[in-house]
Amino acid sequence: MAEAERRAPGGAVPAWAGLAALAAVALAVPSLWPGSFALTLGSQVGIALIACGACRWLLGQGGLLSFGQAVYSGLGAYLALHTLQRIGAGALPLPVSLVPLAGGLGGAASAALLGWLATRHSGTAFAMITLGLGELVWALALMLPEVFGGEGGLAANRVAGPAVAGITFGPAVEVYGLIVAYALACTAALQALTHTPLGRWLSAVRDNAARVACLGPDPRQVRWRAFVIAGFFAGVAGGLSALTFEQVSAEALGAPRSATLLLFVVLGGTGHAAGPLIAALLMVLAPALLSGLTPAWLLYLGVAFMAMVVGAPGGLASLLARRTRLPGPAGGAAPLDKPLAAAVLALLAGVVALVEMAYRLRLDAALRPAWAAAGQPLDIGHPAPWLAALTWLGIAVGAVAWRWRTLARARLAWVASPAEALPPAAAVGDAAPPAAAAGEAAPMASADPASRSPAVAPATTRTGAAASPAIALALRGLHQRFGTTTVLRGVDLQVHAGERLALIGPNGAGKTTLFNLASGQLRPSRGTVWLQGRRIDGLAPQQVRRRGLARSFQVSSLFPGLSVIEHLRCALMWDGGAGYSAWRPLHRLQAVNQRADRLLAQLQLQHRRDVLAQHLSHAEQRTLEIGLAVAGDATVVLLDEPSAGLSQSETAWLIPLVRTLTAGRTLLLVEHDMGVVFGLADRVAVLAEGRLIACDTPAAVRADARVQQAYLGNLGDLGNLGDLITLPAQAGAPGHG
Amino acid sequence: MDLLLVTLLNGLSAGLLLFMLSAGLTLVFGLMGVLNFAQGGFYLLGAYAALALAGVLGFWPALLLAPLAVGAFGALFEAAVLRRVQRLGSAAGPLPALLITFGLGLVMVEAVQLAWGRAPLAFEPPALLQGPAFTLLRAADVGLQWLPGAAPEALCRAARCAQFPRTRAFMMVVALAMLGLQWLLLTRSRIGLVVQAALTHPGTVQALGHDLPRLNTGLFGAGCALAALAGVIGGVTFVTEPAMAEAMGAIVFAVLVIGGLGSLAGALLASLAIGLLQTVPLAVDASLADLARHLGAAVGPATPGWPLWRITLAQAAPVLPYALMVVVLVLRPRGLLGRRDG
Repeated sequence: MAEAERRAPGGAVPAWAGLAALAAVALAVPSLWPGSFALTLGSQVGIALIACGACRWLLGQGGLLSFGQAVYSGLGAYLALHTLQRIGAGALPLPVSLVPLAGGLGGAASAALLGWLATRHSGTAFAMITLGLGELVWALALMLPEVFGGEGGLAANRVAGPAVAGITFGPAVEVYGLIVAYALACTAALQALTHTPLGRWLSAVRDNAARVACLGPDPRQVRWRAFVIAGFFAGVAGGLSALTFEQVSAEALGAPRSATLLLFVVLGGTGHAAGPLIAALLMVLAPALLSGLTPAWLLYLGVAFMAMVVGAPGGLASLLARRTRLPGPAGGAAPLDKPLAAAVLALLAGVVALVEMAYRLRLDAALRPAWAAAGQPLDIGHPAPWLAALTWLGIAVGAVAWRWRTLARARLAWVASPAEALPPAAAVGDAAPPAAAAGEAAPMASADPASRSPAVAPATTRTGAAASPAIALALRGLHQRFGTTTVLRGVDLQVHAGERLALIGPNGAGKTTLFNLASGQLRPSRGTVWLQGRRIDGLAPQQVRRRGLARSFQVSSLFPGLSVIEHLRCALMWDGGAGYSAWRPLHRLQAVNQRADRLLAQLQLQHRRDVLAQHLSHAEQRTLEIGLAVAGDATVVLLDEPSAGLSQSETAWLIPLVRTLTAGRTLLLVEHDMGVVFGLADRVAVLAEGRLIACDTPAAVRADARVQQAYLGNLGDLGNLGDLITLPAQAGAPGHG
Repeated sequence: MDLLLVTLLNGLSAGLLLFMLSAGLTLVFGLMGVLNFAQGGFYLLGAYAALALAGVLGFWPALLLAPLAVGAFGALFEAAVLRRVQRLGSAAGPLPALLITFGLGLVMVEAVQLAWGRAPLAFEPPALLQGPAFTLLRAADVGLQWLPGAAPEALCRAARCAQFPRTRAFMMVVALAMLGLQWLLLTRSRIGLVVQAALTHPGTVQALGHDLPRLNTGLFGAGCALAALAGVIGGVTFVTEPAMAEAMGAIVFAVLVIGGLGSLAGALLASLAIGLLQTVPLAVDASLADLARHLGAAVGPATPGWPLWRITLAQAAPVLPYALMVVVLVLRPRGLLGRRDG
């Protein structure tokens, strides 16, 4: 397990082996290619590797698209240069080798300040705000020539201060060595970060921020910390470039620099550990190699970028890793379709021909390089080559469209055929819980009254023994309005410590709203919520969770990109004291990992341990959803329709499990299945039209005239026929009448 | 006073031009959850397409045809690429759509540079739009006077003249016409009704039998056409160069953040505020140091933070829209009128 944690995601190669190979290549460069050119390129690749790694951490791990990464590397570069100037002036006794760290601090500090604004948001708003902040800093830099040196920038001499061990950083090879050391250290650090609690929270926030809040951490804090870390590494890269070039200009802060970085990081791939390396190599080599070939290379790069986003969102790294993801029903690997690939290549050739001819048309006829095709000189002043190119393009477009449509139709047919529709893994998963359930569920299903009476018995003794039982959760005078609609009209409810209370009521009674008020998703219009005697209304979901109230959702709210075991670890991590730690490796959280494995076994999801949540069946997702709520040390657990969408056998398996997992804790659950309600609950509260009309033992509630009225009253609009049918049936069950 | 009036009008016209760009973005974002990062590119493409068409057909047909052509291109992009990416990335959130439009923006700028070069081009407004729309005249004896068109030179030599160019007036007229047209379409037409319904309940609209993908395509194309129209007018009023895409793109995003994502009224408010903020301070050649001196404090090069004190408002003008964005973000994280978070 620990070994698996340390492996690079998706790769069979352990991370340390990749790093060692990288180090070997980097150290071999000066002796293999003597001369300054290789060193210059190597230095730039090293710097770009750090910058791309930081960008990948934000984009790949956190789903945060920062359009202003150059700001943090640029500010880091400026701070590093100022530091260098001070060292040179003898005002600062710091070895030059630590100057990049000064850059990192500059990047981190600026990211902490600006990120405080940007990380309140995610997704689109985050991207726009980082862009705006980038423009702000860039414009400011031009306004303050005293600090930023104006258009010309700043310069300093890197040979400054006393030499340590004879290294002055005068020769380029010494700077190259420093860059290699920093690049390796930063890459290792960024790789390790993905396997820390913060890295795990960041992925979870990317997938489902609202759910993370229900597990303890504050999503904004997670984003902010990740952003500061990215700023630090960007700053280190900036500091290294300041040291290499001995000068910085405002251009280093500009939007074009940020855009270029983003372009290459996405091209390289954000989903794979090798992505930043590919990105860095491309970023340094592409201009050198391509600009000599064609002036339109940036255009081609842009088109390649778009093609990558459409066809291979994982970037070049995942293409190379043979994890090609074409859009398919399972989202898994699809083989490359050769006719389609050929058609796309033909299309690209046509586009390239047109672009090149268009560019040459703009050049003066005298400057125009002579072209020859098949021995004939090509005259682009003549319409013939244009017509030929356009015809070619038209045919290629047609071929691509035809092939795409054929493939799409084939895929549809594949989905429609029932025999193949179910992926084998899902079939196993569907079968497992009911099969496993059969054993456990049998007593409850067959000997219903017998199995139920022990459940009722402890309940009565419990409530009987405690004359004034401690109140775990209290709702006082809760009102909730949405616009002109009043959903709750003064609800008072007390849940005793250790009891299991079911909240029932017709659809639209306000049950889920009540849950949302108790767990911090909503702030009540009027009234208060008390948890263990402390007021919690108005607190954020994560604060409510930390005070000991966990909840599940009616519609499963999971992290599609995390595996089952990662879900359970996330749910346990906050109570396990992991916090937002960016230091402790996940595999060292032994208590958390052991508890997660135990819970996994209890939920009977062992065979799905490493499957991503998006590939689970509905029943498995429901089980995991409940697992997220009951994991951890919350003393009060709220379950919103745990059996929603489950079959009878699945429900019969799940409910005893809920009983086991919440033993000794306070449970409040919303449920429509009256079998579950009367089998599990010590007391039943009935909510109708925003008011609590009854709250008593199941038997008393069943006999309550107002409850019957509430359910029967709904007969007129046929809204709850299902409830109506189950209620009398249960009421008439033997042993309860 | 006269100068201030013309400055205010300049600011309003700039704000209205911004609104032409931000309105399309806002509607598309509301309907599709996609922020078109290439909006600046469509603005640029509009200007250059009109420039090319104007050489053949004249300015007025180009004013109509260029936005239509660019809008058709935008619609094609939506139907052929964007939709595919969105379906692909439903689990990945808004990232794929952001990235693909970001890429399109890059490609459009590069393509324009390849076809027309990097240098600014002369895009002359037609004769009808040349010269001032009106002149404000302040003579010592007669007070403020309003003259349609240009004032005779002799008069201006004697008094202070402030001219308001016709291109600016035209910008205001077109933007207001577009604003009115949008309002009418949204509130009075059947399509507008469907769009409004789809903003909040896309699934229901589709279940009622409306072709939502086609609506998306149409709306995306319309947003691009609007940006292109703004580009044509911006091109003749300001300068036609590849850099106009980046400059305009960044400002429009600041507008959306300030106004609140998805709020049309917020976009209008923020557009006007930023338009004024971009132009009015240009006329003020005073710095914080001047203000402090005016209030009686002694501020000079020896004062700590002197580089900040000495910046005049006119010098700070490029920063102000983004500074406003920061202020709004601190006070109202969701923007002035924003409700939803992207």
